[in-house]
Amino acid sequence: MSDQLHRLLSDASRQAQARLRPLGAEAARRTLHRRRVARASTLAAVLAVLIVVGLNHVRGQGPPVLTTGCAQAVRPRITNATLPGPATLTFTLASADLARLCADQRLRISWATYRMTFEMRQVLVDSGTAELSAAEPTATGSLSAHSGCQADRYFHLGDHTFPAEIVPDSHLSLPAWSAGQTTGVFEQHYLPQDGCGFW
Amino acid sequence: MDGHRDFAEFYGASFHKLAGALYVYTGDLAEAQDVVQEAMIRALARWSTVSTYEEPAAWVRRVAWNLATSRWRRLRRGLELTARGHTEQHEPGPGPDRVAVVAALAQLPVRQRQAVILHYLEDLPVAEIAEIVGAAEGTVKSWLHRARTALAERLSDLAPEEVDRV
Repeated sequence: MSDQLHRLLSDASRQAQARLRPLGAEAARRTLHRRRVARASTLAAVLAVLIVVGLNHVRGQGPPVLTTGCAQAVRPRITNATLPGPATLTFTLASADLARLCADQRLRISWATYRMTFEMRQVLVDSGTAELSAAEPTATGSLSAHSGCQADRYFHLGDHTFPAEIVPDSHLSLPAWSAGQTTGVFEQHYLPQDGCGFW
Repeated sequence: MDGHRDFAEFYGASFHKLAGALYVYTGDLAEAQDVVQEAMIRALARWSTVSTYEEPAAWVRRVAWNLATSRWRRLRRGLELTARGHTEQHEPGPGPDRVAVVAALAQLPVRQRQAVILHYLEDLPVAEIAEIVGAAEGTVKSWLHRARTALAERLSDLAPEEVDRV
């Protein structure tokens, strides 16, 4: 049986071989080349994605990137915020914040000071805007002398139009800043003034 | 002679025999060609090593047989062809009068069929078959015995009295 089986199998195989149409060694070489190119492309794409993800991760841990919204993390520091006039307000970007600014970004600060009238009204004394950038990280504002008690002082990051008068027993709808703090990081707030009977 | 020319020579000398055996195993000429071509590509990918083997064809044969047995390979191949927009075209095999043994083999369990073809067509000793299929030699002998008995019943011109000769 073994010889017969061998013969039958050989016949079947031989018949099949006569009908084979091999793609050839050159086709094998081309296929291999194509696969290697595809593999390299895939690897390159994966590496690119990993690099981007890695960079974003690193950026996420460090200073914000210079993209839209990065200014949210940058807050100017203000000195002499509660000093009576005449005095000079100083707005400054910390050196660490300079690198966190968006490209060509300018920070605008709107500010205003009020005094208390005898009728317990708050009237505008001084106001202005300051612009800070990487090229000009410092700006100033002038506080003038005035009669009566100091009242609210407002510093707003961005444009803001302050009213000429604030009705008694009220403040502008801006978040309060800690009473008594005279320097520091500001966004928008009012500054309660110690020593005036208004409070 | 560069590596590629060496490979081309090897390809030309080995492809038909390998694919012929695979056809008897699978019963599908296109499938047989496909797995041998794939095994050749894999041999080419590491030709600097495979070419130093005493018998590179044995390496290709083993890869081709593993591929032919792998359902996963068939599935992936089908997906590749679908993605390329190919339509599967089966090569015509030998005529019906010549495929009785192939049809009889097709009714055998896969392991028995492998053992029969590797032993009686590829002339491999039981020990080598055992190594290829990952089974004990005794198991391979058992497969061969059962396969011959079954084939003897299906192919009238086979003499069952020689069944036990391995």
